[in-house]
Amino acid sequence: MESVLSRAARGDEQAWRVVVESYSGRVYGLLRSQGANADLAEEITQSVFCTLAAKLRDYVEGGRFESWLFRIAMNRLRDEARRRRRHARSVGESEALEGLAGAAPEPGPAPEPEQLQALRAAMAQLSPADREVIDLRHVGGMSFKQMADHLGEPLGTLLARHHRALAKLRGMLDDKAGGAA
Amino acid sequence: MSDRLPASSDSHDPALEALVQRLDDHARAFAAERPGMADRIFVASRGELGASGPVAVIGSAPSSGAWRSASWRAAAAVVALAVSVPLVWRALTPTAIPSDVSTVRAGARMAELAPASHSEWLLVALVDDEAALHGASAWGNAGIRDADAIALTRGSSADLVTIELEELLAGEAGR
Repeated sequence: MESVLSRAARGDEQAWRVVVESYSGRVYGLLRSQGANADLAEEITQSVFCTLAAKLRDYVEGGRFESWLFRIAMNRLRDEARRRRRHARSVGESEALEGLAGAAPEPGPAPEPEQLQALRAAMAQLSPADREVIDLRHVGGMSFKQMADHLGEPLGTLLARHHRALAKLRGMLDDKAGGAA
Repeated sequence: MSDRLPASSDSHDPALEALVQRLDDHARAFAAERPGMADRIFVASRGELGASGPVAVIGSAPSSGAWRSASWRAAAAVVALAVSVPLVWRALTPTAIPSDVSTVRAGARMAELAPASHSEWLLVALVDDEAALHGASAWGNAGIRDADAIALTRGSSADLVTIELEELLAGEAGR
């Protein structure tokens, strides 16, 4: 991927297409899983890639592209959440926060499987820190090493946090399954 | 998504494997929501390739319109001003602190930040958000799994890590 990034940084559009196709879905999924609705997630994803395209020349190769990419995306989402919260103080809150309410699936041709609904409901109950670790790993597709770079934490801490977040999620799902039985 | 990822330390646990599979389904469901998105993003962004200076980002997503590029430019101007004033001030005034003193201070700070021993590194690794927030003992329910995770990270054995942790915690308790 580093050679593709280098070619894209030199203005090679085909290489840039490969970068967009490889990462846009992961960025979009991460934003959706973090609570953006589909329209907002695509809008932010697009803005992230426009920024990347302009800044790619300055990117110093070092295997940290994904960390850079996801940091831009998460910062954009936080900026947007802050902007909407400020706006919510002057207009109706529900109107201003529309789009950040949760990761509910978009209406589609087929209903969401029950298991997926249960998983998303459980994920919504995780703390933001646990949610971020799960999302970066399983939706963003980052390696633990990349996540450690991204979050600025030792790898061992990150592994332990990931394990505990998964255990919490599993416990919530087990409780729900037990309650339904 | 996990097909791109290296095997995790949980891969031997069928229940966790099932959970990871559900998380993969969760990610794939999002990926399938916006057909043609990569093409739209490519078309919108290729004009910026290799561009320099402030980024004007025009969206073509259904609800977007412009991405507040005017606000961005205004914010960039404020940031540029905020950064440039102290730089100009520093350039025009003599250095207050000799460079060797700065170096000594930086070295002292590095010493504060770097764990002094292997045991301290292990302690740092265990004191994560969970323990801090809930007052949970690092040696509680998740302790054994933490030892596994740290062993995996350091290329050590879980038993060795467990012994070191016990010694460390015993030492801490005796202080």
